[in-house]
Formats: sequence, C-alpha cells, structure tokens
Amino acid sequence: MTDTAAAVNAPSPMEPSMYRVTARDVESHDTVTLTLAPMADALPAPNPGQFFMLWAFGIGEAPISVAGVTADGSIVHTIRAVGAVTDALVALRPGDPVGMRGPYGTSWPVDAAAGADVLVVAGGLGLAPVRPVIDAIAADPSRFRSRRVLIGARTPGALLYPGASARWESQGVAVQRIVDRAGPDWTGPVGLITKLIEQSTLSEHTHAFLCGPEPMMRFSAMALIDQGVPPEQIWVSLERNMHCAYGHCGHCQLGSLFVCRDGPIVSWAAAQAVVRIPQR
Amino acid sequence: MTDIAHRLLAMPALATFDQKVVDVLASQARVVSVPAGQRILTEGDPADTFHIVLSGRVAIEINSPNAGPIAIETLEPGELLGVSWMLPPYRCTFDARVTDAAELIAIDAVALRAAADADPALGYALFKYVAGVVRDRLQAARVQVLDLYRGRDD
Ligand SMILES: Cc1cc2nc3c(=O)[nH]c(=O)nc-3n(C[C@H](O)[C@H](O)[C@H](O)COP(=O)(O)OP(=O)(O)OC[C@H]3O[C@@H](n4cnc5c(N)ncnc54)[C@H](O)[C@@H]3O)c2cc1C
Ligand code: FES
Repeated sequence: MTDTAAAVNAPSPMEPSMYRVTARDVESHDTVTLTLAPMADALPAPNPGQFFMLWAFGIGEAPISVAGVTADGSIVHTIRAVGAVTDALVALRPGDPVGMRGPYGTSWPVDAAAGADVLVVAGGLGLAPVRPVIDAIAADPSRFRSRRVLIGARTPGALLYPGASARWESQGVAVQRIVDRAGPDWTGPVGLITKLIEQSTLSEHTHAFLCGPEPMMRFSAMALIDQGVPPEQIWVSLERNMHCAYGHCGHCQLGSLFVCRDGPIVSWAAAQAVVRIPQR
Repeated sequence: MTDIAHRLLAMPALATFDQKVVDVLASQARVVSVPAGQRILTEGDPADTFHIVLSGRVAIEINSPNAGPIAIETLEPGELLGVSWMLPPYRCTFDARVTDAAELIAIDAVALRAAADADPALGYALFKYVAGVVRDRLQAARVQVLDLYRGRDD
C-alpha cells in the first residue's frame, strides 16, 4: 500500500469509537456518573486529568474529563447537564451507546509529588477531574509525606461522591469539606474553600492540584502562594470550548496555549497570565 | 502575662499585636465553654461582647421564615466573632450558634471601647484588626454572591 492509500484508509481522528453505558449513578438533580465499556476495541487507557470527547448521537460532542477507570478498564465520567449535548449524555441509560474519542490532553503530575505534601483542592463538579489523583494517592499513601483533600460545594446535598470521602480517609487521606450555605443539619464548615486553605499547614514542599470554576482556582492559587507554595507546584485544570481536541483547529486557544493539547492540566506559573482571557 | 494573653498571642491574626494591646484585651476577657447547639448572639441584640474562637465551630446564621436558619459562614479557631461592637449603633447584625462544642474568649466590648477612646494607639490597633476581618469577610461575601458552583437548574 502506498503512503497516500494508507492515509486515505486511516480512520479520521474525529471518528468516535463505540462504547456502551454499563452503569448510571445519580449524583444530584442535574449530575450523573456514567460507566462506559467498549463495544469493540478499547481506546488507550487515560492518565489522571485527561479527557475524552463524548458524542451524543444526533446532537454533538463535549469534552468530559476522566473521573476514574474501573478494574476492567471501563471509563467513568461525571457529567452535569448544562446544554444540549450534556442534557443528552445525562439522559443516557444502561445499555445505551455513546461515541468516544481520546484520551486527550495533559495529565496531573502525581509522580512528581512523590515524597512531598500533596494538597487537592476541588470545587463543585471540579472533584470529578481530580478524583483519579485522590484515588492514586489513597492507593499508595506512603509515597507522599502528607495527603490532604479540600472539597467545596454549593450545599451539603451537592457534595459529589459522598461515600468516597470516608473511604479516602480510611486510606490515610485527610478530607475536609466546606459548603457555601447550609441548614442546621450541617455541622461542618461553611464559607469559601480558601478558608480551608488558610487553615492548612503548607510550604514550599506542597504540591497542589486544583480543579473547579476558574475564579475559585484563581483565589485558591493566590491563597496557596501566600503560604509559600511555588506557582510551579500548583496545577490547575482549564476549560475552554473545544472542537477537534487534538491541537488542530485552534478553537480552544487561550493566549499561547491550546487548552486541548497544552492543557487541560497546566501549572499556575503558565496559567496565571492567561486565565483572565475570556472564552471565545 | 496571663494565660489568656498567651492564648491571644498564639493566634496568627494577633501575633503582631503590641504586648500592651494584648494585655488590655486580656484584662477584659474570660474563657467560656459553650455546648453544640447553643445560640450565643441574636440579631438585634446590643453588641456588648465579642468573641474569639479558641476551639470548636460557630455558625453565623440568618433566619428566614421559609427556610429556617441558614448558615452563611462558620468561624473556626483563631477567628473573630462579632465586629458590630466597634461602631455605632453597637447592635448584632446576625445570629451566631455553636455547631461544634466551642471554647471562646469572650471580651467585654463596652469596657474595651472606653479604653480605646481613652488611648488612640490602642483604638487604632483594634480598628486595624477589625477592619482586616471585615475586608476578608466582604471579599468572601462577594465571591459567595457569584454562586460559582451553581448549575443551570439550581
Ligand atoms: C477539558 C474539559 C473537561 C471537561 N470535563 C467535564 C466533566 O468532567 N463533566 C462535565 O459535566 N463537564 C465537563 N466539561 C464541560 C463540558 O464540556 C461542557 O459543559 C459541555 O461542552 C457543554 O456542552 P452543551 O452542548 O451541553 O452545552 P452548551 O449549549 O455548549 O452550553 C450551555 C451553557 O453551558 C456553558 N458552558 C459550556 N461549556 C462550559 C464549560 N466548560 N464550563 C462551564 N460552563 C460551560 C455555556 O456557556 C452555556 O451557558 C469539560 C470541559 C472541558 C474543556
Ligand atoms: S479544540 Fe481544536 S485546537 Fe484545541
């Protein structure tokens, strides 16, 4: 076969692979966690922090971060309904097909934090993309000098993965949760997640992984820097609208970064100059 | 130095205070233990005492007839509870309830105001302390108004 013929026969990088929903867990009124298994060949295994493009047939595609990988290699995604594509993905039921391509993007540098103090800061749905980091730390806690997870949510009922916190704690990860507002049943802290950061003991040996709405990550990064954490050791997950997801179309450009290729995981040292550029 | 003065100086927010200021604060202070569930401030009451949390947790609440008490912020060890004692009309603007059994330093605000009026250097030090707390809470309230975690259907 000639090079030209090979190129013609190669699958388009935009072509999705077929997966099937094998489990659907309702997290809240607008958010579900789906487990997806390949119907034929599996896509390459993702690293923590990477994302797939999920295809809702007849509607469109959306980038969705990996929230976990099961023992049999199925991919776990937590999805919140905010528009046409995510409405359709959230409505999927076990047995339904879904198209997937990927994995794409950079990953959380968990190995670089070995021997150091690890701090994970997650706000709202931002817990989903850092969940693989927490699972990795909890699976091998002795690799890290200390392990702390701070989780923020709108209300106590909106806290994702309620069962997981107790499991992580039993595996040697300190978990603190804070909500924006609460009724009398909640006896935990109320306020901004930066309050928990200010109460944590941090240093130049801390490696921090942040995920959530961009203003929350900005304020959290500033609070971390105030406590001596170097910007090069603060990692954030950026979100911008995407089309190709493999660095070809420029749709996700943010300053000099293509978020799909140079991100979504970038250090605060690289992100701080560009995060205030508005979405196109 | 008294035990209360030691405990005040151990708090990061007060660590830079002049020894003299801490001694005046301590002279008007006592330590109180409050069980979980007990209300310690009520909206509209005179702000004649303020507190600093030593241990446990205190919720600042606003009561609404439909939703009941809504906690808008909790105060953790080292945090100041009550800023209304500093400025007229010296009236509490919210309810405060202990949610996790707490030990608090309770300070007589009426006596401290009189001491601050008589000694502008003391008054200025206290004013900077309270203004810093107000600035941080204003910033937190602004961010909370953004309701960053809100979904389309919330
Ligand atoms: C790298 C990456 C990882 C992501 N991971 C997840 C995930 O794990 N789970 C998940 O639920 N979503 C995730 N998202 C967001 C998701 O891709 C968007 O919500 C989705 O593309 C919206 O498409 P839609 O057709 O449903 O809504 P649209 O009609 O495109 O948008 C509806 C509304 O949502 C807003 N919106 C669109 N995209 C975003 C966004 N990225 N963040 C906030 N608001 C947005 C729009 O401004 C609009 O107001 C991720 C995005 C990126 C870039
Ligand atoms: S989405 Fe095409 S370059 Fe990033």
